[in-house]
Amino acid sequence: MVNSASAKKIIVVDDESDIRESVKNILEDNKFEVEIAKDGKELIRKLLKQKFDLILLDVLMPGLTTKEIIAGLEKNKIKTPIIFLTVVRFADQTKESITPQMVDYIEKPFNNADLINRIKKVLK
Amino acid sequence: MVKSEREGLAQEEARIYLEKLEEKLEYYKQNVINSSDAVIIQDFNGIVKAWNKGAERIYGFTEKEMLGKSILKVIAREYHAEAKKNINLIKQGKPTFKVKQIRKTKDNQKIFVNITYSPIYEKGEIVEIGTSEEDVSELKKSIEKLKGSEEKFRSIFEHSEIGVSIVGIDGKWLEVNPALCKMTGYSKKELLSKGYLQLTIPEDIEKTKNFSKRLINGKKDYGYLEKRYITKDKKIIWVYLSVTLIREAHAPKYFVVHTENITERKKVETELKMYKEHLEFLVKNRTLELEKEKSFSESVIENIPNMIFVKDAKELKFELFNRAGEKLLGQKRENLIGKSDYNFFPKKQADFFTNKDRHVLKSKKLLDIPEEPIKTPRGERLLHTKKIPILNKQGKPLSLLGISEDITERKEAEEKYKSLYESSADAIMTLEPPSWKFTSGNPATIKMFKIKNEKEFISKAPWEYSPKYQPDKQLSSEKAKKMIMRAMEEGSNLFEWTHKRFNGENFPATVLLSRIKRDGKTYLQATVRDITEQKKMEEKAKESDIMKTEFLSAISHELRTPITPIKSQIQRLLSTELDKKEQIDSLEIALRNTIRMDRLIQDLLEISRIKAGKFNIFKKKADLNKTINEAIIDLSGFIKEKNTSITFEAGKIPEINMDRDRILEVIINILDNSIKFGKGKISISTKKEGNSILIKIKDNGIGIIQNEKIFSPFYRGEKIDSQKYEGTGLGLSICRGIIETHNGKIWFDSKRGEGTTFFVKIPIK
Repeated sequence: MVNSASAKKIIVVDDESDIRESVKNILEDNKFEVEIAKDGKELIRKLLKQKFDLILLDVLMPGLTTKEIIAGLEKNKIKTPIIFLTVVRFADQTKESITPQMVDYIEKPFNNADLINRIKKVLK
Repeated sequence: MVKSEREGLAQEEARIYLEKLEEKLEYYKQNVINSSDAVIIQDFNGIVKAWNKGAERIYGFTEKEMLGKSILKVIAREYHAEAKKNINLIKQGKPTFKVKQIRKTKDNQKIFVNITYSPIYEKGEIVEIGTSEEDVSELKKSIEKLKGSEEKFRSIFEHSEIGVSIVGIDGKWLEVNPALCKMTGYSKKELLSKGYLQLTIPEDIEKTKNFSKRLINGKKDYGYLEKRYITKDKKIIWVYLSVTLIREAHAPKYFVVHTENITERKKVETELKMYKEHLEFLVKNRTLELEKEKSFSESVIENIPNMIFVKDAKELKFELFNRAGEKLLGQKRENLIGKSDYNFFPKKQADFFTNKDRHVLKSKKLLDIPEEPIKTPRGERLLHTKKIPILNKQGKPLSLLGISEDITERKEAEEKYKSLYESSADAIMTLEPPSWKFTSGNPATIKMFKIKNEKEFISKAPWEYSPKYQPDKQLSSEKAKKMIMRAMEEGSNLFEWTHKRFNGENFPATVLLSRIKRDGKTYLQATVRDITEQKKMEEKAKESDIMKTEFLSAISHELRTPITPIKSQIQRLLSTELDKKEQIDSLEIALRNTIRMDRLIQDLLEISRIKAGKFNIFKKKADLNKTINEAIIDLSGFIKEKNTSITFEAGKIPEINMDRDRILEVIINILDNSIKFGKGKISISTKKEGNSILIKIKDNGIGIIQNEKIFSPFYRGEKIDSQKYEGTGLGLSICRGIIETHNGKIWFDSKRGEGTTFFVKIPIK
């Protein structure tokens, strides 16, 4: 883990632990600070406690739907940018969740380098 | 001799001579009076002194009429001079001599006479002339004969309407009767001056001459001839001559001819001939026409598709058969003619036919037999037969005419239709214009619309048993009329419709409206098919499609989930500097997810095999309680981990026919879930129920929301506190597949907060 003040903080939200783990690994390899959450509820809880630079959000999770999560963020005035992690084509799944906060999306399984590039782009 | 002596002798001689003369005279007188010849005495001036009976007969003048008159009266003028000369010759002392002369009779007939002139002496001097005249015109003789002997003949001769004539061999008329004169227009005198050839039309002269020749030269003495004369006023008449040749000592003497005017007859004959020819022509034409008609009608009878036969009235034997009859009975007509029904049909059937035939002939009325079965080589056929009596002019029966139509196929078609109508599952109804109310319906109609009986829906229109609006928001009454109109215009219309049963239930249907003509009126026949089931299946199929799509999506999602960490970790291993521990952790994640994928794929295969019915189970008699214990042992690790206590009430159950491995799988699966969801306490029990064993697995967990969907693939249930559990999510659907393949049942009961009980029922056999 990188403990630098300049290091960007990313929170990874996915209901699959191995995916959480893997994404965390990749981000930490690239010197990002990573927190994980297993659902929308935990995400919002952690966001209220800390500030993050980016949210990596799995769109198909049990519990709060993506729509509900977005609404929750809005409600709490959390404007952190979001990159969606999807397993199906973007259009089908996330039509309803389109929000200005969503800055990009990436399909699982993804190319690690691709993921890092997108994140870096967003955080520029 | 002395003078006196001489005188005395002379006197004596004179006296004797006178005596002798008187004798002679007396003799002559007698003879003269009775002679058939004419004996005339005349003086030198030709005055008649004596006139005998013969003369009377020949000349027609009586003694009274001639005595004292001139002989010239009977002499033809041309001979007057000669007559006078002959008188002088005698006067001069010429001895007896013969001459031929033409004399004329009282009625001016010319006759030929041979005259013998003789001097008559008195006292040695010629004092008178005596003539003996023989009529050599045989006519006279004949006429004498005729006139004298047969009054009748004379009467016939004179009064006959037929011309009678006597003709000389030379063709000249010798005697003619009034009828002939009338016929020819000539007078007797004129005719007698002619020969018949002069009257004959030139064309017939040859014929006439030949005829005469034949008679004269032939053996026969009679003959008949038809010829033409030209009358005085130049008219042509046809005459029929009956000619008899009179011979005397084999020598032809004259002809006796009967002449009949057959002009009228000839005219009539000609007319008749023409008429006959015309008639023949007409008859020929008519015959040809009749032949044509006959052959036309024969052709019609022969070719008509109905059987036509004729039986004679007496013995009911076949007289006529047409081709259709041959076909029907499978016999050539040669085999049928002259035979009766008894030759072809079993006695019973033949009796039936004969009875009917006799009845028809007796009643003389047409008999219509609408249906009559007969046995033929082709099997039993049904005929529509009409039997018609044929009567003669007196009204007596001559023959029996039969016409039969083979209605076997038609009847079968009728039966088929009837059977179709009655047994059809579709409702078949008739709508009558102009109101389009129902007039009739088959049994299926009653069933489909759930009505008590036909009377209930008769005289109701289609929109009266439909909901107010159709699914496309049109008013049923309006749309129905539109559909009806189209059917009437185009002959038919097929469309979907929502109907309403009498119990108020709407149902989807397909309706076929067909325009039909019956008894001259046009109707619509409606065939309605209830497609409720079909619609349900369509829904199911759609659902199934959706489910398939969702399933595939789910699979895709499920597979991608383990692939993501595998891909990520391997990328890391290849691109990032990792220390040993990190490497091992990374590989472990990859491996773990690989195994997960493998399991998933296996489960997927199993599910698809179950779905495809290709799931095979190998049933053997096994102990279920033992199997459950095995499951508990298998999961002992997990049980310990979760601090769960399991109580197993193994009931008294017989061995059951089951696939032990599969059932083990099921128990493990359910148990696994129970341990996961449970709160530490699980109780299991087995019990015999009827033909099956019932397994109960109860946990005291959070409960599952009652939802059949948990048996659906990938469904992970509504987790009460958002806890996600590992697992493919296919477990329960596989369990269901296994249990259902055993013909068993699997279900659950759950109360929120209290726990869930799973039930598994497996048949013993």
